[in-house]
Amino acid sequence: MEKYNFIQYEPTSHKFICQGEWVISNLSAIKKQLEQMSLAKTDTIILNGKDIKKLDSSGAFLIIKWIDKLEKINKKLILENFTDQQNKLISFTKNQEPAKKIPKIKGLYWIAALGRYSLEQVEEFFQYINFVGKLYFESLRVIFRPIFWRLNVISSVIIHTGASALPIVALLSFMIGIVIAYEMGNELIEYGANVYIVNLIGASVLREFGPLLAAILVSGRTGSSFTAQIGIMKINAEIDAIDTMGITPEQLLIIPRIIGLLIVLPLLTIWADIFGVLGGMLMAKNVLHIGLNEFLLRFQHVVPLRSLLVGLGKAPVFALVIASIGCFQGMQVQGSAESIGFRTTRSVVLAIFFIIIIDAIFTIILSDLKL
Amino acid sequence: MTATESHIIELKDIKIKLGDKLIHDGLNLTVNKSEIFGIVGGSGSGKTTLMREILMLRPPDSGSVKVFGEELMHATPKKLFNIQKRWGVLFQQNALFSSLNVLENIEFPLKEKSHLDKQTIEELALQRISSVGFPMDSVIKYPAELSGGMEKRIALARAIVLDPELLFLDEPTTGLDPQSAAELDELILNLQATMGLTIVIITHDLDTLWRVTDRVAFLKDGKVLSVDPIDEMVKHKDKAIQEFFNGPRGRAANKFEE
Repeated sequence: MEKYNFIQYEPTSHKFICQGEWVISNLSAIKKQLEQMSLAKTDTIILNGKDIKKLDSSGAFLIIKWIDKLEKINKKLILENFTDQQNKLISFTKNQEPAKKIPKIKGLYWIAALGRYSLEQVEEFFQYINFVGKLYFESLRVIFRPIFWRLNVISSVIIHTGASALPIVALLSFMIGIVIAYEMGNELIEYGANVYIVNLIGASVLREFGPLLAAILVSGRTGSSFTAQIGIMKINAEIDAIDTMGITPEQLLIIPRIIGLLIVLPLLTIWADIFGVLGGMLMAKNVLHIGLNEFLLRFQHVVPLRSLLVGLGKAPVFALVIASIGCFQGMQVQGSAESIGFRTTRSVVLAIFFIIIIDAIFTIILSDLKL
Repeated sequence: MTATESHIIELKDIKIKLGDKLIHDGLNLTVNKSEIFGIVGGSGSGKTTLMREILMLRPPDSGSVKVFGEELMHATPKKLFNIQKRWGVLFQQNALFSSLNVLENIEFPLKEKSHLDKQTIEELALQRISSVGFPMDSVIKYPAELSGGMEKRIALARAIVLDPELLFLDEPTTGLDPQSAAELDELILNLQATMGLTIVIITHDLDTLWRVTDRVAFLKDGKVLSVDPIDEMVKHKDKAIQEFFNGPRGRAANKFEE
């Protein structure tokens, strides 16, 4: 006869004896043993619980399952020598045995899934349009009532998104200035056209890299934080609370953020321009031997004011894109932590996507206009 | 049974300061095996903080916390891990995993801790879900789609899914309708009766206190003012206790007793 840890057949009395701890940590071992057991030939099988050391509801559940299984092959299991408490546990567990049906989530056929995905994208686009429309309406309502301007919120947005971003924007644009000067400088030396580095740095940093770099950094820093802040407030029903007080979330949360960013991003762009040009200057001196004085002197002659204005002109547009997408995605958050993660990612990706698209459109239009 | 085995929780001289406020100032408390122990006190008297201290989520600044006879203050991660397998917690805000559906929420501890096969895990999880009276056709819903009472039930099911020896319930009946609250009381009693669980309940619900608890501790000013069975507690002379149990809201429960 085989010897089992948890259950044992006693031939003399034709009984199965439970042994050891029938608890969840031993459950897989017990289950295995029960499956491997050779059953007695008799119609009734007696299970003796006098040696059982501990029984928890998982163990009881296993016994119930066994009883059910035996009933299917017309055998009966009789429990013997279990304590009152254990009997209670077993009957308690038995009463609550679940119905077998669990509703299954049906997966869609791929083409249906694709259709659904497309429709969702279209719907989100319409929701965004709706959101922008509502913002426009709210702005008109607020603009003539200075009491709703929320200057304290705007100034806190300016500090958190602008002032605290100064070091990182400065460092990164300085680096980009260095890189541009270095890469272009190597080409220019070949033609002996060293001084043209000033034109190139001026045009590329002021027109493109300054505004783009500032916008991309801000969309990573600020757009994502707008989404997370508003998303958490949505989950906590804070947005609903604001709404029921007769204050619109647009007016309290979103418009101040957009205005704050509208102020901050052009300033950050100038800041990025300054450090980008500085980086270029430093590298021009080292690689191309153009002195700082010479660089600055030439700079004011060859770089038109137009370049700076074109770059600065893009900044408010980028600010609108970043802030409106960040806030919109925040308002789209629903219910779960996962949703916040999804929406935050989406807000940054969409913001950068549109920044680059808009930048390309700007470049095409401006070059057609010969600006 | 030795003294340490019969004392599931032993707190000695607990002190904790949160911010500038001294929350617990030399608190002592003992919870016996297989009893249902209530913790009451006014708002801000440190009930939830006490639970968090016992669970080592926010260890006290000084004092001794013994659970299952093991000292948890400065315990090694491994020792703590072994204790953590033996308790279950129902948090006040339910703390369900918002990105998992109901069934996955219950299956999660089983998957992580039990080494069972997939089918058994699902069967066990479904058994637990039905044992708290949760409708089977809603098991694929997400927590955000559930009502408060249903969320509470699932949180309880998750707390008991690994068959803990010690169960902490923080405000289990808050936000439930009277019917569900009564059912939950019966469920708690049943758990204790069938499995010999030790249950620590933090609650303001006088009906629950009368119905289920064996002993009740009253917290005030960072100390345990008194530990008594509830029928003796209500006769306690202290003003705070009198206001708590025999205030305007206490009448219903007293009538019930008479």
